Amino acid sequence: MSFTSIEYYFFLLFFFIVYWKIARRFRNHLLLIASIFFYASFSLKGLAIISVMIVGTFVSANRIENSIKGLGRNFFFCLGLFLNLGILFYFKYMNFFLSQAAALISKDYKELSIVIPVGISFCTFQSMSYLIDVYRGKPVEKSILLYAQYIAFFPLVLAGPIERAHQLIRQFREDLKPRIHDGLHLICLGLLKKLVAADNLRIITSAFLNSTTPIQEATPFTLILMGYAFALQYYFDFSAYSDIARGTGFLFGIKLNVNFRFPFIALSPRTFWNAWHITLGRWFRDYVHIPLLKTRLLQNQSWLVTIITFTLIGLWHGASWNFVIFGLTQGLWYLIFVKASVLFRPRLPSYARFLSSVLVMNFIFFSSGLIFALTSLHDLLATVRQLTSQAYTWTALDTDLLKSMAFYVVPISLVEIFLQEKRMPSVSNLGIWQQTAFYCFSLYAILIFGDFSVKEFLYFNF
Amino acid sequence: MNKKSLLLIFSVLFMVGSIRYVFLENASAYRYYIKNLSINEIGFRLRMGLYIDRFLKSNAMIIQPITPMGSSQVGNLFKNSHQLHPLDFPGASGFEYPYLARSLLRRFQTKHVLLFLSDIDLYFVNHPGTICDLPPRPLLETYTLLEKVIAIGGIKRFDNHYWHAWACNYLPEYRFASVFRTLLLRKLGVKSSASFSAFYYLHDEEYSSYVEHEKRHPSGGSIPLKTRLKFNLKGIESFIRKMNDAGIKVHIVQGAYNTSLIDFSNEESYIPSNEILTDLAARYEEITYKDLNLSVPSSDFVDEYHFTPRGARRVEKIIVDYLKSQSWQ
Repeated sequence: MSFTSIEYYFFLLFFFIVYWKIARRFRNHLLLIASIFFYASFSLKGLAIISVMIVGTFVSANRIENSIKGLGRNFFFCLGLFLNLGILFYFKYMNFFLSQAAALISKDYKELSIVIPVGISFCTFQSMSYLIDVYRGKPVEKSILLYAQYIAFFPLVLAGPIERAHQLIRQFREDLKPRIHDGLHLICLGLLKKLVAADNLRIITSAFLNSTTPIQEATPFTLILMGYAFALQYYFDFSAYSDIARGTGFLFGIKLNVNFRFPFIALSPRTFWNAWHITLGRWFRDYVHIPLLKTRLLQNQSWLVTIITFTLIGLWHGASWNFVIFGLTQGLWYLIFVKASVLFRPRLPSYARFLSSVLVMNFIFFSSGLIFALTSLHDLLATVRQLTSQAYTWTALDTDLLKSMAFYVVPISLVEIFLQEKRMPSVSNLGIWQQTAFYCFSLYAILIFGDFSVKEFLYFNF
Repeated sequence: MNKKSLLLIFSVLFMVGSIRYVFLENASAYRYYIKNLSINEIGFRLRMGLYIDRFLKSNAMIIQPITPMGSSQVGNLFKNSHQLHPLDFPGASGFEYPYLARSLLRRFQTKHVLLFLSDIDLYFVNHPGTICDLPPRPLLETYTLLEKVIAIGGIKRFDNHYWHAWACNYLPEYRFASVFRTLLLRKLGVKSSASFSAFYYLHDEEYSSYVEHEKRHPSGGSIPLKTRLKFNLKGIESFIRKMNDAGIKVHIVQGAYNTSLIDFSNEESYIPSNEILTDLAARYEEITYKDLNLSVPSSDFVDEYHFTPRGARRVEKIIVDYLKSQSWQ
């Protein structure tokens, strides 16, 4: 039951009506039932694994609070972390690490048949953030129902946003009002981004990935365009999911965190990461980067901590070397940009500063798109070779490809930038004709250009 | 609901209604689409869908005593005929006939329908996705059809097809999506990949593998011959009943196809269409059946089903002579 399937909207309508009709004390029970039903529609086995994670973490957190002495606290904290990381490691990284280990000792490795439960990374991160917060002294949640709902809340269980327990559970307790207009706007925007932009870009990128022509024969301009196509596809796909999740949350009166702020207008890696998968970035800042900086060993090595954090962010996306390289390069760009800003930028006039930022950031956009999408190291190296050794001739520019991409991306990006510039969470604050234009544009774009054959979101795989 | 929300709903409905009226509810818009879009761009079935809808929107009627009906083969056969205007729907096989009945009744004032049926009408089964190209019909008919296709094992994912068919039925914007997509992309100089009716099927793997399979294995394929026959016959019978209810008599003549390119006779459960149609005529008193013993040489076909101009002239003459000889004519 994906966010783009009609069944989801029947499911949503049913629970929305029942939720606001029943007495307030039963609403959280209903939301939990809806969440269980929703997740079970994807994987019953995954539901069992998440249940184990919920119960294990809940018990550990309670024990942490009850243990006054340091030893008990540490023991239950480590136990909880071990459970969460163990589940994540086994399902997501086991095959990768075993295969690498086997390669090191030159042995054949037969992959274990492990099916990754959908959304496991997101659930684990929420679960761990709760555990760490309790360990750091935040109050423990006494109701397992509310805690389970925090982990399994159906709009965010599959692909975030990664919420913090105290923020979300507080909302579950409050007497909220539905924000129907904001919810519908975000769902509409999400569908527009997914069905029109992301899925049409997918057609372009799949054609490239499935092409029989080797990368060695692709022109540099084609590779650059494909880099942008991958980056934009990932952005529209994932931010669409986040928008629909937030919109769904609003229908139940719950405000979920903003996960994206159109990052392709960022003029530095810092602003980019403040606009791309914001909740993941904050999670790593709060639970990895800052704690690492506070350790005696790394307190003066902020550059190393930055590299470690970004590499872990890369590895979070998947068990593959390209994700490690992705994280590593992001860390490097980040550090280089910071250094360059101090050394060169003050000497440059403002227009040159702006231009250099645009150029460098665009290089980061397309190169990151390529690193992220090309899972084979061989392909990545071939791409680098092509980009560095071939001549850049304008005649080799595939204008059809460029126009197709622009056609699907520019109008929707303009809508996003417009709302962002107006600092509006939704179109509900606009005038009636602007709202009408938005809804009509969305409706016709979806009906005419929407690709309804794909139901999965890319980030389900992470 | 507050005043502002009501106003928004009203203005959205007003805009959508206005757009639909301008682009989808008048015959001249359809004339523009037909004139500006080629078969290569939107597919022959959707183009025919546009023709039929244009006619329906214009509220005009063709008055003729007898109307031939069938697939593109019938269209090809009577293309240059001054005497008979056919209702042809490219790729239509037996099961789709009931879905064309409504268009027939609204477009033609006629007392007799002529069906030119052969093995290809009885043994081919289109993918249910293609019903999107057919003119809109009551939803229950779509549901029944999809249920039948599932029963014979033609498709696996019922839900997708059902919602897709539902959208095509009630949202002409979706049904004619590739018309607007192609025109818009062409205006902007963007290369369009649209060639099928609905975008949903453009990249649907099951659909493409089905079409490919049917192309390679016209006699049998994934669905057994017997099941195909039963399925198509049901459609033809349902069509006959609909025509009888409307007071229109159905006349069936044995059709022809290029036997050098398609050969059903080696199939184990193959029953020649003349036997099936004779049996059908015996069961329904309201219909007539005639095997005209058309022996059309392969040189009179351009491909598996379509006649050369000379072949079409020859077959048309035989049919017209037969019709003239009938007392009901």
